[in-house]
Amino acid sequence: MNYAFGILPKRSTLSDPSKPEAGDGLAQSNDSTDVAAIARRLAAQIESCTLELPPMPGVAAEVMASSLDDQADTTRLAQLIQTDQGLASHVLRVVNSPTMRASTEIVALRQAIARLGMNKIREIAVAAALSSSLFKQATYTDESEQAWRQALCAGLWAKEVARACRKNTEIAYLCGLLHNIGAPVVLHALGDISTVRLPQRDVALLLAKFGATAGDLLAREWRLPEPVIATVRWINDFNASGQHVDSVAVASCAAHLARLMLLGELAAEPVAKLASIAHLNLYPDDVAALLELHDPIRTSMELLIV
Amino acid sequence: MKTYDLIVVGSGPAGQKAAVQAAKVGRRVALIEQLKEVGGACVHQGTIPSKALRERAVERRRVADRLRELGLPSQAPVGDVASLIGEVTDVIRGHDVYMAAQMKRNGIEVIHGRASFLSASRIEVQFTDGATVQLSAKYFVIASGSKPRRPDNVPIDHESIYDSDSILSLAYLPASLVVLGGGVIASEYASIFAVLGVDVTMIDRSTTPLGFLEPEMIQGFLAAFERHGGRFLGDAALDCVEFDGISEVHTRLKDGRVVKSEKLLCALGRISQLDGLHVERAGVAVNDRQLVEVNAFGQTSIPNIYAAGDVIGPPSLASVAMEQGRRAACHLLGLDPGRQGEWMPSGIYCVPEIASVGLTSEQTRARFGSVVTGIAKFNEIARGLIARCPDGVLKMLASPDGVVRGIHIIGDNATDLVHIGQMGLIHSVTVETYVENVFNFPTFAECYRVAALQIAGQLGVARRRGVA
Repeated sequence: MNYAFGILPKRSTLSDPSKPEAGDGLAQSNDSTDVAAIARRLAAQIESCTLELPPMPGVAAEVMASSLDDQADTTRLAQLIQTDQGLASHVLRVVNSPTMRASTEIVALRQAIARLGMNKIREIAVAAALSSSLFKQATYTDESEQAWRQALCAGLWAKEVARACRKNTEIAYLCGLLHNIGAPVVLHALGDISTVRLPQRDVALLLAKFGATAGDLLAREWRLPEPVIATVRWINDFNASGQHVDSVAVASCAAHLARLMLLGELAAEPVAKLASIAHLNLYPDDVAALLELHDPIRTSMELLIV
Repeated sequence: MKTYDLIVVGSGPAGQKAAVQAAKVGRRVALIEQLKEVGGACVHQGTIPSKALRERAVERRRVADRLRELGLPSQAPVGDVASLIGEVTDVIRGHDVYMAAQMKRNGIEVIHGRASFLSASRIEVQFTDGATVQLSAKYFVIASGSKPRRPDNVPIDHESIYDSDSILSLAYLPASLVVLGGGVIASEYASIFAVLGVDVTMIDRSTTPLGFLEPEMIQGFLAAFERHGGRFLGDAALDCVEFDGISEVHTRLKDGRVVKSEKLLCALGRISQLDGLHVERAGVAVNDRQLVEVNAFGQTSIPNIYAAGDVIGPPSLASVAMEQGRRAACHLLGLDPGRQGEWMPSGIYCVPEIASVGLTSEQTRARFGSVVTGIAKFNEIARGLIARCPDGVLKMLASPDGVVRGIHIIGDNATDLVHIGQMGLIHSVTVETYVENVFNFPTFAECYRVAALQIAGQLGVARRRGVA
């Protein structure tokens, strides 16, 4: 099972990303002819670079770039968010939600930034921009929604994993948040190829087969930071990711934590066995400390999904 | 249960040398390291990374300054942190490969896990997956090193407020940085980031940074630091540090002042790393500063358990730790470690470098009644002029009988240059030795001769011996 792109199973079949599974399972599908044909079309689109890649939501691109820009300031960030009315209202809705709301209502973006800080507002803005565009798909609504929850949850976990092993938290968040951007690309393509909805199991198999490659194409098209490109490409095999192996391992670990959390199966035992945990040199007490962050992360995630 | 002649806990400079020494005489040695790589904090968080960063920062600054002087576009990539850290990582990997090969070559079994004493002869190792294994040995060397001190009033989050183990995880250069502390690590990072163009403020309760050095060294450091845009706030008692939740770290001082910066580095010293080691189960005594107590041979209160490096306290120098590790291994093996060198040089890799060996002015005066000082400035010798070294100074201290007692240097290559003085101290040479022998020209080493001539002049040696 490909943990980064697959649809959540009823019970955990989480695999170790350092050991890719043999075969893609498409031949054993219930409706193997149709699925195999769709798989061939997807492969051909990827091969011929004709896979439709959505443009990066303009504001998300700029907000993301501002997180690695030492010249960025509060005013500029507020201006950026204000250029997208939907985004501005989403940010204000989140900061005024019951969990975050201050004693007085927040009515302006600068006030929101002052209340929550630039980094938090960036996180909210990037997340909102992606969820309202990339992760919206008419035919595969549930799958898109699940992929989005996985992305967001992985972004939040990635920050904490990075903190635990003294890696950069800002890069980690982006790597975690964007690790499965191939999933919505494949879902969009499936919707375009056939209006008939495929069974969830087949969708999961197609995502597992094409998710990383499609994500790689999109990450390059969007000119995302190098550690993010490496993450998208090598999320299931971080050891092969070369110089960005640590960033990818953080995202890989976060993606596992996110998946286990969303399945309601987050526990020390499966986490301790992850190859990324060994790579990042996290010992049982480090893992235990990480898992204690379960509730705050769930709260943050629910908040961002408002 | 696997049994060894020696188990070493920690693969930093002390542990590595102890393990190699024992393996070289045919002993069965296991080296337990909690990191994935060998080398400890020295290779992965401290000595090597900061020195590599310093070298690259100075290199880039020189290129940028030179381009500006030539009237070429001055947008030189001084602040490209990704490539800067990438280059530092390459150095670390290179060192790691070399050290791993050395362990293998010597037949040392490297075990990656966390050690925990069960008794004075048994140890348990836990792995990242939670599995454990028990090992026994006749002898142990504790060389588990140190970790950054985390004061309660500085909430280190590794995101806005860093310690010296996490500062190199920065993804971009902050516009401003507060460095708490005035010691070696604080001064090194403060000066490196200033060279990289960051607006750095050093804050310390002492009146000067590096207060244990000779005044000329401190002045030289501060002059260079300020020229690179840094400022030092001395005599400043820290109240607390807070992240404002927006984009700034507020450093509040007890006198009411508040210094705002984008990021903060807390470099208020390091403490011994004994977490989870349970040395008390082996009966090893630890003092009230949490340092393992040892005798002159590195032996703890338990005769078959030794300790070396940062875990036994100052001077916390990699060079000294190596020697402590080697000597501990020699003692437990019954080998003659040789005479303990009296003169240990120290090096501070700030910008510019600072190094010293031997006595300070105060110590020389206290021991010999008075001190005679000779000073050579780098910008007054040919090599210094060629290399454009405005801050270089070599200070030579002699006792009234003309014997050289101390050498203190600030400037390019100071940490290498100091070894000439070290050899002189070992052989108790007088200033005449420096005056009467030929040095290559032009070299920085000429400073020794210039400083020695000054002392010779004050002592009347020049008139008696006809030197100039």
